[in-house]
Amino acid sequence: MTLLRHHATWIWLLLATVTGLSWWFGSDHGIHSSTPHAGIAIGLLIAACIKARLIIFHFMEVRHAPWPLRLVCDVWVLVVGVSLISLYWMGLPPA
Amino acid sequence: MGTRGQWLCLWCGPAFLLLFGIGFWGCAGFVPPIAPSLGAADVAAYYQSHTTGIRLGMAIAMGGAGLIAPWVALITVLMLRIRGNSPALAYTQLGAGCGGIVLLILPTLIWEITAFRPDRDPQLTLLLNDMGWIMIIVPFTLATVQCLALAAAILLDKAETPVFPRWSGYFNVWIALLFVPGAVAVFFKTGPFAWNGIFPWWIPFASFGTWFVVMFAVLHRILRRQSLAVPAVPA
Amino acid sequence: MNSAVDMPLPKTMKGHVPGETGIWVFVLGDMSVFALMFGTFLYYRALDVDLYMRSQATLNQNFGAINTLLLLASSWFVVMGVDAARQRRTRAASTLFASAFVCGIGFAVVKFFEYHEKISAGLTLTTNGFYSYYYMLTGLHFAHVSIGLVLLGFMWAKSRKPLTEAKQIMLLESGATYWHMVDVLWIVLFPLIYLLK
Repeated sequence: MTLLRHHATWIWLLLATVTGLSWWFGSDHGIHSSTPHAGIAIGLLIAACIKARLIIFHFMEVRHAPWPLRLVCDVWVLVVGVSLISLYWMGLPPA
Repeated sequence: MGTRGQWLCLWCGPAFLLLFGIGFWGCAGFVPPIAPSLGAADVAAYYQSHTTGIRLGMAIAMGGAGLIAPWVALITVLMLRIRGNSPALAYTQLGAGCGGIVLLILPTLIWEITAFRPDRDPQLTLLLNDMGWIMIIVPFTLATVQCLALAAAILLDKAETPVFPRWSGYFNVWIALLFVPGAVAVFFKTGPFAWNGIFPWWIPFASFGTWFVVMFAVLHRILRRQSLAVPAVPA
Repeated sequence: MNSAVDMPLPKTMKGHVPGETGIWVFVLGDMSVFALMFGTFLYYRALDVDLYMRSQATLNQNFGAINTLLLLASSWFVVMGVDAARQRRTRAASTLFASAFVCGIGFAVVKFFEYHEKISAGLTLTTNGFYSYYYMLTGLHFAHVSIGLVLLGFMWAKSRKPLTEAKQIMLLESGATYWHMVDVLWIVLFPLIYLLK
């Protein structure tokens, strides 16, 4: 019991920290500029996918689920991550 | 009790999809929809160059739409078989489903009227065209209520072996929500939320088809199981 | 849909499906539709990056971030609540679900202020492409939050009595699965709409 308790709490702390960092980098505190900043944007998207996977696997408890469900969830995270990053890339001004 | 009538009702579902597809898609060329951003002259030109296709296609689509009635009746009968449940949900599904047929037939009639005199003032053609499209896309409520009533009945089935598989209840909740974005089409003439955009059109269009295909599989299994269970002698 | 979710699990497949198996039809279906919406948002953004960037600058990122933290906290409460219910710690379970509910209400309150601020500034659904997406995505998500609040209230009521049957625990897990999904969707939505540079 205490183990699971600690486990979910650590995951939650990690999620909150990443959220704080995304907030810092994503809002205007981090970088004063209104031009696209690919490094930060892609970092934010990757962070979002990692957070989504943490919630799905640890909070939803998919990590204990049979493999087809684990696979489908991983595919969702991967497809969302890859397509969002590529679509973002499409919108960058030509270098 | 013979089940032949039920099998007949079951096959009305795919028959509707086929006829509506041929009429709406094949003959009239309404997939993708006529863009809401087009001006009166362009819309009128479309009806002038596709007059026969639209007249014929809408007649076929309208004919097919009637076949939803037996399909909805079959779902109602199977819902009534769920024990310990009020029949109110089954009748909600029946009423909403039959109302939905009207909301399919009315737009096809309006497009028939539009194509009846394609040489009239283009502004009038534009108005009629708007009426048809808004009537078929915006009123999500009957489809949503129908799916939700079915979902509620399925999920409230407490029997050891429920009539409908429980996942099909959750499936219907999902489909019910997908029709809702159709309502925003009245705010936009271009982009993803216009009546030819992904949310009011493509997603509901795909989920409408998916609903028929999935429910066909579900109903087919129920009927097959009951054909095996029911003795040949009428009770 | 996926036929695998319908069938009873073969013996060779080890593991525990969280909640009722059937609810995953809804969860995965809904997550796919939201994924599609996220994708089309970036597609339309790519067609007019400048407009989307300028409009995004008018959003209040603090509201978005506070809401993220509220949903994360709420999800954590639900994880702990389900765990407590499994161990028949009834008091703890109901307190935890009530806390999750309060965080969800907090989300709704912040959203209310945020919408109010935007609408008073004359920024509405039809202002431009970015704002259409902003209202549609956050609005649809908010509809999910509202359904989730009803479910959380239901879970709280259920958890006030000791849950002895496996079926009751499964019901809680189904509700929890839905609520975590609402969290996951916001986690992707937040950087996409509020933060992307």
